[in-house]
Amino acid sequence: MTKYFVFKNETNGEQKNVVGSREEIACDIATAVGEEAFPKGYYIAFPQENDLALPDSMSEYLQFTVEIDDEREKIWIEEASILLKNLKNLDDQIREASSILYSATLKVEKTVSNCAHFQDLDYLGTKGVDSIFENIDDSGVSEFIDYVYSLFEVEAFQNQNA
Amino acid sequence: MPKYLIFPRKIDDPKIHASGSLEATACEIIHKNFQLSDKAESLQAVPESGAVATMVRVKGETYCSIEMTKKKQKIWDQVIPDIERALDEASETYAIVEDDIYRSMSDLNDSLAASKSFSGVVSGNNISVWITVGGCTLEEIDDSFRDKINTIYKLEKFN
Repeated sequence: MTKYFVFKNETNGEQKNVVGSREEIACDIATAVGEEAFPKGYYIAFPQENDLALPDSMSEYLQFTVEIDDEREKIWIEEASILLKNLKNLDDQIREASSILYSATLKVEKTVSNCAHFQDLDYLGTKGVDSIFENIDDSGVSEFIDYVYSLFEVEAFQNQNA
Repeated sequence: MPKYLIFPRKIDDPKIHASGSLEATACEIIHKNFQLSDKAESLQAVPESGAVATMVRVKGETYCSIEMTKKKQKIWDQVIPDIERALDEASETYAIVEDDIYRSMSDLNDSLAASKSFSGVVSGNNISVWITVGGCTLEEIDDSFRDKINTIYKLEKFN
């Protein structure tokens, strides 16, 4: 089992994780649990060597630690990354749906209120759209992230220097 | 207010109402508001007070009655199409959005079913609930709109 230290990559692209490497996976996991839409390459990861602790000068920049071994690498590649993509896709669509349906319903409301004889119609309309989306937290991405935290033994650090 | 009785036109009856007549509009309203599958021309309208209406009543063929005047015909021709159009457009938008979400849910469910490690971790139940209630907002407006048409035209359904 190897622990990976994840930092914000401030090398202006001079240093990058090798594509498909465990370092890159560690960064992908950090991005996933961070829930921010950071671009690929925002983080950079290094493996812990010989169980040595991170030097103090580095630890204040540390953002995450992630544990990855053969089995967990396989789980990330074959299951978690696909699930994450599908969960985020669904979340994006739900967010988009909220504004699209609100606009479509508002248009109907405006048309109805401009028509004589129909101004007293009784309906919830846009309020109904709002209440539908108020009851949806997300697609399940938070449950997924909680599980990723435990599965990959993720630790998050809040460093002012990071 | 003049009322008309609406009943099914016999298949071999060659006479249809003149376009733009109160009778033709009355049949169109019934056809649309009760969402009948046949064409509006498959219906016939006669003034409630005439001899034909008595025959129709005796035979028990009356489908419904409707109050129709020139003023009410104008509402149907000039006001209602705007609302119908807005509802149709919104309905298409709702259908597209729901379809997209169904597809994404299906992809998600497939990946969950294929995953051993994440089995039971993600529920996604609240999305299913949304799918059920999503269309209700528009249906509610549509129902309210149809009820109002029933009131304006004093629609009464018999058969």
